[in-house]
Parts: sequence; C-alpha cells; structure tokens
Amino acid sequence: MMQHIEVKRSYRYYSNDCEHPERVLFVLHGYGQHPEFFIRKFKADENTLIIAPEGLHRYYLQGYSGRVGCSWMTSDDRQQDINDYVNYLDALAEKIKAEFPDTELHCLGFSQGAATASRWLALGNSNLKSLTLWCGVFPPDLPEISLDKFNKISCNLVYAKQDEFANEEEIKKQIAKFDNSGIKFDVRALPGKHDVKPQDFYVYWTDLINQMN
Amino acid sequence: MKKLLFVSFLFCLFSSSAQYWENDTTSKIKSTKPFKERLYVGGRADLFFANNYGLFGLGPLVGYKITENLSAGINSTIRYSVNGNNNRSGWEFGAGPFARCVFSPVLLHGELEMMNHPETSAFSTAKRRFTPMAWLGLGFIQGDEDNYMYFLFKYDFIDDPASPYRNFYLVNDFPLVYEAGIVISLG
Repeated sequence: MMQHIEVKRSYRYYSNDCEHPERVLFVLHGYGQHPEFFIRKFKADENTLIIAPEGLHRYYLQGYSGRVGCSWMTSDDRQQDINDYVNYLDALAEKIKAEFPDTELHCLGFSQGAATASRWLALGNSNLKSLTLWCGVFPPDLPEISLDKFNKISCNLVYAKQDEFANEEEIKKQIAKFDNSGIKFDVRALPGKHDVKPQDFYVYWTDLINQMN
Repeated sequence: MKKLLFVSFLFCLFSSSAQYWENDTTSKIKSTKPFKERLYVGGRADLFFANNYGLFGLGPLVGYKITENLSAGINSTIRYSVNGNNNRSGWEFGAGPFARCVFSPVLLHGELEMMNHPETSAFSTAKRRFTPMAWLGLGFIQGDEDNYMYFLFKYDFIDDPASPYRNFYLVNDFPLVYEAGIVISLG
C-alpha cells in the first residue's frame, strides 16, 4: 500500500541582479537542465527580475557522478509530484510578491517546464499576467474548469521548426487542441532547434512587454 | 556590478600607467624611444565552424607602447559569418580601443568593441544591428615583449543577448572566448 508523509524541506531558485523590478518572470527549465545554467539564457531589460526555480528532483545526467540535472516529475507518482511543485511555485511566488508587492508576475516554461508552467497556472494561485510555452507541450489532463484562467491572461506559444522532440505536424495538432479548448494562444515559430537562444528571448520578451503595455 | 568591475579595471590600468609615466624618470622608453619605435601592429585570423554556424575573417590591430609594459591602441574585426540557426549571413565589422599590460609571459588585456553585424535573433525584423562588448582578458605570450605571439581568454562584461560572439562562447551562454594572435614592433 502506497502512502505519503508531509515534511518540511527547502528548494533552490536562482535570480538575476535586479534591484527595482517592475515585473517578475519565472523561467521553468526543461527535463535534465540545471537552473544555474538555464537562467543564463534569459537577458531582459533592467526592470525584469528573472527567477529560475529548480525542479524538485536532482539526478546525475550520466551514471553515478558528474553533471547534475533536474526534473519536475516523471510518470511515477506523478499526481503527487504535480501537487508538490504547484505548492512550491505558489509559495515562491508569494515570497517574491511579498518582497516586491507592485510587480506583475509572468511565467515562461521551456520543454518539460512548459507543461509545469501550464499546470501551475491551472491548479495554483499564481495570478500570472502572461504565460509562455517555449518548445513545450500543453498538458492534456487539465481540469476543464481551470481553462478559464488561460483566457484571462496573455498566452503564447513559441515553437522551433526543427525541434527534435516535436515535428511541425505535432505542433499543428497542439495548436488545434488550443482552439478546441477555446484557449487563445499567440503562436510564433523559430527556425532553430529545441532551445532558448538568448537573442531570440530578448526580442520576444521586449515585444511582449510592449504589447501588454 | 560587472560593469563597475570592468570600469575599475580600466581605470586602474590607465592610472597606474600614468603614475608610472610621471614617476619613472629613468624609464628607457620615455627618454630614448621615438614615436615610430613605440608603434606595433598585429592581429589574429578568425576561423570557426560548429553548431550550425561558421565564420572566417581577420582582426588587425595597431598599438602604441606607453611604457615598456603598457600599451594602448585600436583593435578591429572584419569577418564573414554564416548562421544556419536563423538563416542570416553577412559581413561583421568591429572596432574599438584596447589597453594591454605585458609582464612576460603574462598578458592582461582590456578592450571596448562596437560591432556591426547581421541581426542574430530570428524574431527581429531588422537586418543588421550594432552590439557593444567590454572585454577583459588574461593570457600569455611567447616571444619577447616587443614581438610575440599571444593566447588570450577574454570575458565580455556586457554579454549582450545579441552578441555575435555568442555562437562561439567556450561554455554555453557564458561570455568567455579564446583568441590567439601576433604582435610585431615597428621599432
């Protein structure tokens, strides 16, 4: 019989150097990435505080030593992991909001982080102003009642035309899924592979902020 | 913070040389070397192919020896890049002032560079753009302090997201590059 126990534990997150933020962008890494390195991909204007939370599970990328990566969840006991990371991200957002009360909150999820970001918006109390799924999929298992949350904010999908993990046909299916769910996503395509390039992010982010203002 | 460190470094470099110039009345270079003999030329050849990106070009420089160890001058870059990641290719032109200290075999190098190059972001509608770099480098030389070959690791304190050097950072998304070149004294 499987059972769970609740304990107190700590989680890491990384941030850029931003003294007076007007907005906060949570960037959620993909499977096997490390937030310390992942955050280097995000160069934004001086008023954007970037927060890169670490996925709940650390592991060695190869064998039993060497480089460490993180994941948000696996297929094993997934619902409990989803509950855990939604609570963790809610607590983190609350802490940041207490520190910087006048800021807007935004979230960008890359790859596995995209599904994580979507679930956080759907199931948590994040109060986001925008959601960006970058080379990632929208989870198919969200409760219908939570989908309203997506239409209240700016939702964006950035996909790569040469993505190793999803061909264009799959992405079109994904876009059709958004339409069927009644969620309006602004879709943009990149010529590259499964990655966030800092130069692309910078232009994208600047455009998004200008659009929302 | 990083900008402050870089500016402090350049300030120290120039102020120490100025102090040296004022105080060291026995300096050989001050009393004996005419203007032309303090000049040097040099540069590097750039060739890089990896990660769906390639370039070739030259980086000529001209410098002036303020003291035996310290010099300043103008560095430049001209090269052609082919970027398969965003299907943008073209000429890149860069130039800017530099200062370097040579205490053989150690080489300390500070440089400001402005580069005009093809737009690096696929999302941008612009075709070309200007990008600044502020380099601080540490390396070593082979040869004497007048004529030498140098090997240098340079760190870009600005790390602009559009930097054309980003494609050949030594470590992913960390603004460190490697450079090798030569310096020949005209004296």
